Amino acid sequence: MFFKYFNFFLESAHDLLHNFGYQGGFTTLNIILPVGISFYTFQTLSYSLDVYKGKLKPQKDFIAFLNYVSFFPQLVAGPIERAKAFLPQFLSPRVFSYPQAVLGMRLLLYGIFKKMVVADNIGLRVDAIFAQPNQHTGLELIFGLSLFAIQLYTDFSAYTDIARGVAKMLGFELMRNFRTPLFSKSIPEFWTRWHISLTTWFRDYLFIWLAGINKKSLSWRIISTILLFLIIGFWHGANYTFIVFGLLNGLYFIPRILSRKSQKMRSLLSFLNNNSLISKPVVLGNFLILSFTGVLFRSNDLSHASTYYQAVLNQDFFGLNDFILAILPLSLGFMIFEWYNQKKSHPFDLDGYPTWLRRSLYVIMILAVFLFGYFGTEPFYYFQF
Amino acid sequence: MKQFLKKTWPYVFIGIAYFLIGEYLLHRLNETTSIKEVARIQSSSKKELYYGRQVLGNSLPLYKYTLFERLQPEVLVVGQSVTLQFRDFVFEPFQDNFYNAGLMIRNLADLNYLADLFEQGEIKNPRFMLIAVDLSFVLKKTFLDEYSLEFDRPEDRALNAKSHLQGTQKLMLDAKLRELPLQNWGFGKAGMMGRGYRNDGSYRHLPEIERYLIDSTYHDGNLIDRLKNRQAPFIVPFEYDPEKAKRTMGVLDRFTKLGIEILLYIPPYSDAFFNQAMEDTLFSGFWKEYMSFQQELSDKQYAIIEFTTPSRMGLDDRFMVDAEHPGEVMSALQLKKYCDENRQTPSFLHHLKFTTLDSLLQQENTLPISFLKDSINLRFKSKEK
Repeated sequence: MFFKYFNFFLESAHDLLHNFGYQGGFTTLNIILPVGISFYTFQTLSYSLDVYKGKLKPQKDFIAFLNYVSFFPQLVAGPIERAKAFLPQFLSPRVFSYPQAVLGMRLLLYGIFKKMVVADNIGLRVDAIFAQPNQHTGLELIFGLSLFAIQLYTDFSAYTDIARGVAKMLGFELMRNFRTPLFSKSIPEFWTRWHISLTTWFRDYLFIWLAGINKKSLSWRIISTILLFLIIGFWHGANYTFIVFGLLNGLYFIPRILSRKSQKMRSLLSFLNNNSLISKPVVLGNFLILSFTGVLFRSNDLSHASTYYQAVLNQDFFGLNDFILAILPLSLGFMIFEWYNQKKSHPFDLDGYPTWLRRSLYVIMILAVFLFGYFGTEPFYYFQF
Repeated sequence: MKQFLKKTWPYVFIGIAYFLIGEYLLHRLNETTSIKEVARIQSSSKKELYYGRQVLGNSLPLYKYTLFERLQPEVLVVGQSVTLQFRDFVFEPFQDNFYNAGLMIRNLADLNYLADLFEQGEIKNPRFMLIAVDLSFVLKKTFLDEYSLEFDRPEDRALNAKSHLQGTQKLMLDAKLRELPLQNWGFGKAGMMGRGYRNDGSYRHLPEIERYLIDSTYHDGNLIDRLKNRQAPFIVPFEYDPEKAKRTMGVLDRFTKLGIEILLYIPPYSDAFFNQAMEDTLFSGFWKEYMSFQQELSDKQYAIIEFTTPSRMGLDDRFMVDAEHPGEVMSALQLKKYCDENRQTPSFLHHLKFTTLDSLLQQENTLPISFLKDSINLRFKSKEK
């Protein structure tokens, strides 16, 4: 944590002192952070806290513990596994299971397809749009931010799928980290479907304690929710963009918190979520809110984000270049596929499909990876966290 | 496990089959010959061969460096693409001890590194060097400065698995396999068609020559549009950097101290481009300072082929490959003119004979942009018939 945030606090302090006339310089740490530092920090923390609270007995098998912390498929970008569920798996003997291996291969294929064909090809467009927001029309910028939301989801969930797939083939079970979050009807719902292992970690180890300080106060619940999201934002990186991103997400929770004490508000939210006519536009609206907020997540700094937002409003609106247009069928096709499969245990759960269709899908996806996959250098987005 | 392997094997086979087909096609197009092998053959072959990978990429600075290191010539040409039309026979009688390393050096740091190599005795000093000091050597900001021959030499893409996958993908998607060249004129698809780097390091602009044979007119290559749109190399701030100019002179001094005779080359522009560009205040402002730099070099007694345009030499723009690249005839004439006017410095130039050049200039085959000296002439002759 020190290595990750030291420079940020030092630079912020320097900027503050500079405003008061301080002219001196400062030295930042110039180090390469260990890959996945945030993820295994959480795992070891959860182990220590569970042991401290007496929920878990200390592990005496040191090798099993080391394996739990450094299990390679999920080491770099999660899911963040709890010791209670994951550590015992290293203690029991593993036998090869055909159905598990098939499921593992399926997840692996879907993950590779999502990463190389969907996320990376979208990423090329997103990079181009975010590099020069002022060179694009308003419509292109709106597509840019929407595509980024899809890129981030496909990229991150692809990593999880690959990790889960490999783990399954090795005889381990990792937790589910995503439940088609882009189809959420509200931001609070989104956070129950996105990066589940992180949000539940924060819920269990921080929020329950924080909100419990003053259970009856509605304002304290709002404050603690905002605090929680500020921390989640800051976890992503030592940058003001993530702090504002967290703050906004915290604010999006206010209607839901208020609805705890307002029957009218509860009815309104329930109507929006359950009315079959309204709920689909609500999903779209929520997706747009997420995408607009996501600009902060993608921008290098606040001024970059502000340039982007201003460009959306100030640039000519109509016009879509071929480079962006070319990715829309793939993005839309992928979203439709996930929409129809969102109720399943996993969007690529093909169990109900006829054999010929399932096998054809495998072949198509393998060929798509080779023919349309991006073979350049594009690390998983969450590797930076 | 057996059942699992049996079921997954056909899918793995798809991948293997795809890979093997791709490898066959890449091999068929001579794209897979390593740079080391190309250098070995080109440096010893009397037959004119062309190196031009169209699918895998040329790994250019590495290719040029490998041949330069192998040949360690007495006469060396270095600089950007503007030098690529200096042919070996122009430096008669040193044509067999000549190498045009154009594009090996891409910036001042690379030139400095070259001086290091000579000083450290890693490469034998050439007797004579023609160095193109184009505007990037004194530009405050240029993307070319991001490259480094010393620290960031590109790897040979023929030896990189990822490049092979990218290449196969390109071949499959382009699907122009019927256009497989049958001629064995070189390495790589472009090389096999006669487009690429000759044994002497100069570049054969086949498409431009073929186009010239059809329409015999000048094409500017959209340089004026790039200036208007402030695209590379005219990216704002398009400013002269006196510090960089000073450093350039420092490096040139190092070559002189090593006893290497140098002739500097300020590359020409086409009249059409230059006249229009001088009406642009961004360009003309920079140009005034660039010409002062040229004067400064001259005042310091550096031998220098000064900036010119075709009309100032009694030629026209058809002698340019495009607005910024002189054709091989013009490059040769520039050197000859300099020798005619300044035989005294550098003394090396005393030894040059222009017998072959003079005879080629008289030949019917010689076009403004090309001597058509290579064996590939036959192709044009047969086309004419």
